[in-house]
Amino acid sequence: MADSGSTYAHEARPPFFSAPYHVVKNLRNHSNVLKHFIGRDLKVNYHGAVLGYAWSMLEPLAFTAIFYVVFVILRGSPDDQLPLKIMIGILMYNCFSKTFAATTKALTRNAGLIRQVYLPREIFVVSSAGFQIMQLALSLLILIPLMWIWSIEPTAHLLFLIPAMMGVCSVGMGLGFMLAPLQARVRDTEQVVNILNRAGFFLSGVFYSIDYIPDEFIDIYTLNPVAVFVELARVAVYGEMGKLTWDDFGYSSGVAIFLMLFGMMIFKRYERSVVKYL
Amino acid sequence: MIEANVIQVEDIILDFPLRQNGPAFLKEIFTGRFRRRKGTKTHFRALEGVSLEVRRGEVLGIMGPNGAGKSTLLRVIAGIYAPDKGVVRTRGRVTLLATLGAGFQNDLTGIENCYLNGSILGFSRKEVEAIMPDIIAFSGIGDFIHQPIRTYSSGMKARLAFSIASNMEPELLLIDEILAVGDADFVQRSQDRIREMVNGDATVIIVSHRVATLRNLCDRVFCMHKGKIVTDGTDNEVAFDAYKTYSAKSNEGSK
Repeated sequence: MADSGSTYAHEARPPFFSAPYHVVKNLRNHSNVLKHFIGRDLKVNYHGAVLGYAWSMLEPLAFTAIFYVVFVILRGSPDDQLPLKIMIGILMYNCFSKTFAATTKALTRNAGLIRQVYLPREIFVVSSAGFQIMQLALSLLILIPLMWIWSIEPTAHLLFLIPAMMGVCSVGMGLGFMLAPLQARVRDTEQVVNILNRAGFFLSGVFYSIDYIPDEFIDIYTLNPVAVFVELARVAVYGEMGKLTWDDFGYSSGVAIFLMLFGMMIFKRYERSVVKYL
Repeated sequence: MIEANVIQVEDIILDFPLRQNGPAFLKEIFTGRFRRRKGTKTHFRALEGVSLEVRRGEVLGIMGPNGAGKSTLLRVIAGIYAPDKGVVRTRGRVTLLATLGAGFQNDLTGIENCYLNGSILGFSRKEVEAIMPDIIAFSGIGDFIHQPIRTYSSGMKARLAFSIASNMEPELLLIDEILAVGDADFVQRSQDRIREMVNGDATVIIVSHRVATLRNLCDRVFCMHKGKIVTDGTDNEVAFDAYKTYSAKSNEGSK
């Protein structure tokens, strides 16, 4: 239906179970704004830098070099793949933690705009997450030269990078959807999120891969969907499943989808009433 | 359909929470629902049973002393605040011009900001593209349009913002006191531009403190006071008189 013919009414009660449907519909109607917001963030992020977008790749490259010096040269680690594995871990986990933090703050950060113009508020959450996943995609391009340097044969497993990226991003966004209205009400929320992100860093296999987990703890370890998606990115690069199973992948995807849908329901239930607190 | 109501506001009530103090607020989160101290005011009623019907093509003026709820009413119609009670129905794309240059980004160029601001106001890239020459001409910014707006003077920014907003062709336009920006010449041109927009097809609600402006532009004028509409909109002069009485009263109180 064309914009001009539509009737818009504020119902007394916001929808709950149909919230994901409304979110998707609003995002489609406002895809223009969504693109502009993500583009704006990308442009502003590297504004004035001579190397511009190349920094998304140079940063992880520098990380890898540092880890190589620290772990392989200074500590003499037998695993010379370790720097690359850690770099992948950091990129994937950072995408999760930054998405989680940014989506939690999506409403408060855009308070000025939200009070001035009407836009479906989910746009602010989704554009924050969209920016992070674009950043991650740019950063992962550095894998091309690095895989060549480490002479790792690319395989069809590389396609796993896509669900891995979407996975970390949707877990972060799902949680952010739930907490964004709370953050608007109580600004302490973002501090708690920072602490959770810090703790999650050590639980999600960033500085170690799944190979370091003793067999008896693997089942507990893979309960954390972020850890699974981080490991999935390594599977994609090295082309073998290793200790990761299809069950882990299915379970984590299920959790990610559930968090997204439930997050949207919570968000739509509370976002209207918290606008007054912005 | 010509006589159809494009904006229908039915008995809106809107409460704003009054901010609580830090520790008290924390305590309230945990205990508030069960033990709210008697007599403490937690809410401020900004709109108290407001009803309004606007027909297609009509130009409506709303006056009222500061804090009467005029801006809040526009924000409810635009969908920013959901009413606590009552229903708002709108037909067509609503454009609220409350603050000029919503979402302007200092590091982006004038052109980029036009697209960004246009999309925020609800217009597609194509629509903005089509009126881009008009925007550039009307704002008189010239080649600076390709520079980041961080390099603009505040007058230039305001002119660009107004040019974007006023060159769009909105269906339902809500204008909230944005009429005076830039130098004298630009103010005159923008007044004329508003008049053109108002005289076109758009349905408009204007909030203003200027009797002369509203007398010129509006079919019907209402006066608001303390969250209520206090005149019935049949005689505009009655609304102007009421506005003068109420604002005199509220200014007296502050002396």
